[in-house]
Amino acid sequence: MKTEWDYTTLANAYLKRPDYSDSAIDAMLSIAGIAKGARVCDVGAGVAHLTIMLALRGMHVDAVEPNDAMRANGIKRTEKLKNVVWHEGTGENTGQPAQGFDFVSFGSSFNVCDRPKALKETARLLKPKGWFACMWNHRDLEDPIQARIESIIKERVPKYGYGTRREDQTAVVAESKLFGPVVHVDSSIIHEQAIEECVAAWRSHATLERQAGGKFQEVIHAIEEFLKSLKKDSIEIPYSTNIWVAQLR
Amino acid sequence: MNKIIKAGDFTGLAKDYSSNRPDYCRSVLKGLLGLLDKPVQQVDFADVGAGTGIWTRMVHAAGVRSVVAVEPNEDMRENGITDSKGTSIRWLAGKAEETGLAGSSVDWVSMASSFHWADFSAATKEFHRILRPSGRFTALWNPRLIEANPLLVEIEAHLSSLRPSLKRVSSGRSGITETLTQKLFDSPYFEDVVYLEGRHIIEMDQERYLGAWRSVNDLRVQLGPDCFESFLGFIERKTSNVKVIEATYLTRAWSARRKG
Repeated sequence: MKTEWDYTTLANAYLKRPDYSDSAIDAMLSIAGIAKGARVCDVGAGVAHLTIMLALRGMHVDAVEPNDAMRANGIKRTEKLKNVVWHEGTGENTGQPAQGFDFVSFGSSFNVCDRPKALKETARLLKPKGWFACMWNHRDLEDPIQARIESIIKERVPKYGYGTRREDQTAVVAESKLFGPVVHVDSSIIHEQAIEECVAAWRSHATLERQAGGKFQEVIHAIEEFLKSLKKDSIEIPYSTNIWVAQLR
Repeated sequence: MNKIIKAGDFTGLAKDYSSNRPDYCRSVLKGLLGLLDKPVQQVDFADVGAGTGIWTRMVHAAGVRSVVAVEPNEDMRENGITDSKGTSIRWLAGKAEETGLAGSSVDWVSMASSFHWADFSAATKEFHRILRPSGRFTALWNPRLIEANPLLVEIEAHLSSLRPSLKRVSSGRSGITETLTQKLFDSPYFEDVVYLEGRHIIEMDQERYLGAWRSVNDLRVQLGPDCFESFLGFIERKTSNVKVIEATYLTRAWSARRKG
């Protein structure tokens, strides 16, 4: 399926992305009162980072992903998990049955959807009093290494920004009037990454690729030079998993 | 206990506290319970600086195995005991830096709207001592979100005009909470810091709303008794024709896992 934001060339590099904080996922499921056997629709499941965490906690997961290459990786990574089923679809049009789910999740995907439309679709999918969640891993940009990388990017792409993926999602959920009060979970994690993997992760950075345009390779090269100049095999990258959770009215 | 006796002396406020202070967001409580490494029914819980037990009783009602409430102020504690009649909550005199609880005796220790009175390093050391391995410490507050209601914005503006230099302690939207994540992260006693935030609306009648203002300790001290009474009079006039005052509260909680 073709979408506005095409992840085909990024699918392999996405495998190296950090997982979400286990504690944040536990808190989220506890807020929603979701237990083993619950039905979850994981939207924009990508290469299954969130899908796997949910499946290992005993949920039945219908994973929806529009991009063929991403989905192929996701299917491969979950082939031993009998409680995961994959589907082609988008956040605005999942193709899933109405009122079929206890929980609908968006792992790093809500920002690439038309958010009000995705919320409407979520409300359609959920059983009465079901729960919605969207989440992202945010790198701590004040960490010295990360701060240097940010300035390398901004020297070449002055208008660079992260847009809605770093915004508080409370307002957009409240404006939909479909959900109750939003609960926010923020959990810090350290992701240790080999320098090579770190460079690969930047190569897979969809937001940067979109905004840098023709300068993308130059930026990646500069980041690579900087990371290699640290003379380390790996670095510690501080992240925080940010989740917004709300219950269907 | 020095701190408690001076600026933070809550003697005489306990009644207003107990009957008028808002509770905390239930979703946040559910999230905090989900961070513990055992089922709720197996959790031994201690609430330190429990006050009159508003949060203590919420956790008790969630079905934990045992609850002990530790509170240094006698007046607060006595109101807490009265309000907790018929529950299995045990009340003890003690403070954050010296709870009086046995080592490795609880799975979860919390301080609700009280951690800003504690000495950070002494209290975190004490909590590490009383917690079992992989137990958790939680600090939480429930500041008001006055922006959500124009009437409350007006009352707050009047307060600023009475005393422009007014400094509000606690509240959980300034001071300690700005650096708490980092401080817990850097602490030798705790790791895996998770922040949870949820809002809930409390509908109050005029009497309860005034009672909530009467319980604000630092305001009474800073305005002085006369000015404080005239401020309460202003609120009374402003709210005389209002049936229900909708106050939005934001529960902000930090949960950290015991190291080692």
